[in-house]
Amino acid sequence: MRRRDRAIRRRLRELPVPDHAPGFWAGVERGLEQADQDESLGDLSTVVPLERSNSYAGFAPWMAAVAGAAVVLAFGAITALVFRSGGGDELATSETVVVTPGVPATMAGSTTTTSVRVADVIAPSPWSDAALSRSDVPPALLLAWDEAENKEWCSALAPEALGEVAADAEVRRARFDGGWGVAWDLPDGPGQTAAGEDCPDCGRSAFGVAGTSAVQNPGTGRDQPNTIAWSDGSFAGYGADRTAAESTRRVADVVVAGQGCVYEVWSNLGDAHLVEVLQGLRLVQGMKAAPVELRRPGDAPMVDERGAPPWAGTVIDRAEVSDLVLGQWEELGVDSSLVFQDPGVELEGAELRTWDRGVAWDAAGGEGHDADNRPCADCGRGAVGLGWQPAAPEATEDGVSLPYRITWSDGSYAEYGGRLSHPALPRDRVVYVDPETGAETADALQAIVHVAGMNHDIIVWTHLGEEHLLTLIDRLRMVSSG
Amino acid sequence: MGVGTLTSTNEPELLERARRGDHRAFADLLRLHDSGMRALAYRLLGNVTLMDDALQEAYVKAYRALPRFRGESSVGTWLYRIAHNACIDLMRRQREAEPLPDGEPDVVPALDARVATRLDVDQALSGLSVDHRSVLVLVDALGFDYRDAAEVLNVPVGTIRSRLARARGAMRRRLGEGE
Repeated sequence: MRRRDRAIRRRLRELPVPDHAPGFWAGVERGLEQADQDESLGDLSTVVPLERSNSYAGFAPWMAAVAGAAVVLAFGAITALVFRSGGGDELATSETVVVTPGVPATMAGSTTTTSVRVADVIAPSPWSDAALSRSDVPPALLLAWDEAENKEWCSALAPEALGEVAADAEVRRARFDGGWGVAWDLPDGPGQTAAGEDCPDCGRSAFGVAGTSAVQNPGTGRDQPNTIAWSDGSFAGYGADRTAAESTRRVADVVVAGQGCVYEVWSNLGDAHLVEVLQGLRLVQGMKAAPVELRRPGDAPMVDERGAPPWAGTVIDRAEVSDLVLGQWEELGVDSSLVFQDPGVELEGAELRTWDRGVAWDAAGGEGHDADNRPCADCGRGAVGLGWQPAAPEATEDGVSLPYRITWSDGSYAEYGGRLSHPALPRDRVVYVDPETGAETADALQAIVHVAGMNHDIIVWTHLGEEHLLTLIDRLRMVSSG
Repeated sequence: MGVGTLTSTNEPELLERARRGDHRAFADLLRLHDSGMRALAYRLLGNVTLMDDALQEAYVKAYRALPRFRGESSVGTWLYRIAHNACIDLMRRQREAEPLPDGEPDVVPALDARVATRLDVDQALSGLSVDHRSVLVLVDALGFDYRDAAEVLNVPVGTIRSRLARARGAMRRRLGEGE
């Protein structure tokens, strides 16, 4: 090792390592408990844990009355509600709980702990009401959403009315990396300091709404103790703020039908207020993302189920393969793999070069991306690429992979989608939004090809559209071993 | 130093108790390796919130996967691998700058030497590709040997060697120390 490398290593070892935030280990413990619970319940994918240990004394009598009516009306539509008695693991059917939008199933004064399987949903979502106009929305929200990276797949939601509690509030942007958020600061009352600690009377960030950069998944909000389901498939789970150990803040994870992101709503003013804010949320005219159809591993139907993979049977002689490719394989520890020999289209002045894990074709012009991976309209750099990487671990059940999939009869499959744009985005809307300038550029499509029996995956990308990507995949062939 | 040196004498007992559902034992097992995993996650993700998110997810996943842990690698290596995968998953979800395969750290425009010397090691490290950061943190910062690092990153030992050489070269350039 060079002396300079030893010096760097010493400095690397001296780098400080931050400790966990307070509440980290409590969060882990809750996760372990949830894991135990899931294990004991088996594969009941529709079970919504509903630990109702809160007293909703703050609820207005009219809300209870509305809830009661809803329970009666909805009872016939609820066909298979199963609920678990507090603390036990056995499933029982001796009692029925209806999850009513805006009103927790447990009414004022009672305290029970249950888990419920929701077999039906019973009311339209708040955001299915008429959208607000932009002039009704706090400027901070307009600005936050306009500048958000996720606005292509995460519509703005704004509260229609907040009542007297917000009369003296100041609205400001709240930082959500990759997303947008606004917080209401009250002149006094409970809130949270900038350091994330509860304050009894600072009023800071007393409540707020955010569209986070997280992508919704089937489990979003389902691990929260309280849940609300709506007829359009929207869903909210709410409970204590899991990022802080001793916080009284209540937080809801919200899935809005047709949106890719996870919304977060919070309040330091109690559950009743949280639900009130939630029920008041509306879409905003001119601040809507086109509906997103999320695709995940295991989703059915697959985009394309094919027969034998294109590389079955045909082998390319190693001598015909570029030295640049063979050099990369040697570097990556790959003996042999799949290649396409050329991009299959006319690329003016194209030259092959290497990159970290493969090769790329640079064209003289046209769409491509710069050295920092930002798409460009006419630089031609990296217009087409091919690479190899260790086989990815199996996709996690809650992970979102590239949104489209081709499967072949031998068990091989390819996943593809936007290269830079969010995986929640459909393949015909892959757009890169420059975080600094807001400029939009068409993104490349990228495929990860998992070949049955191979210990590495093949990366294929193109800036020339989906048809070209599929052509490139069809042109993949096995190379004879060295 | 390597992962092996992180192994506590009571690790097998903790593992056995954790397998039986003893949360405290599992937490103790995690704590044996938590400091290093924090270092790895923080250098990959760049902030404490994301570090905690990734590690919380990783730890719960590890717990769920305990029944399938067959001891083919050390517990430490296995945990680091899960943590590393959780970081990569999170980065993908966060769509940060470096999860893409075409990272090409070697073609990052050379920094003006006067500017580069002002960059500290932390900044220089954060400018590298995920692969390079991972290998530098594991081998150079945490002292993993090549074999353990290869197991964590799921690549051949030869790849660790070449990746490390490139990563060190990139660090030198970023620190303005030339080749």
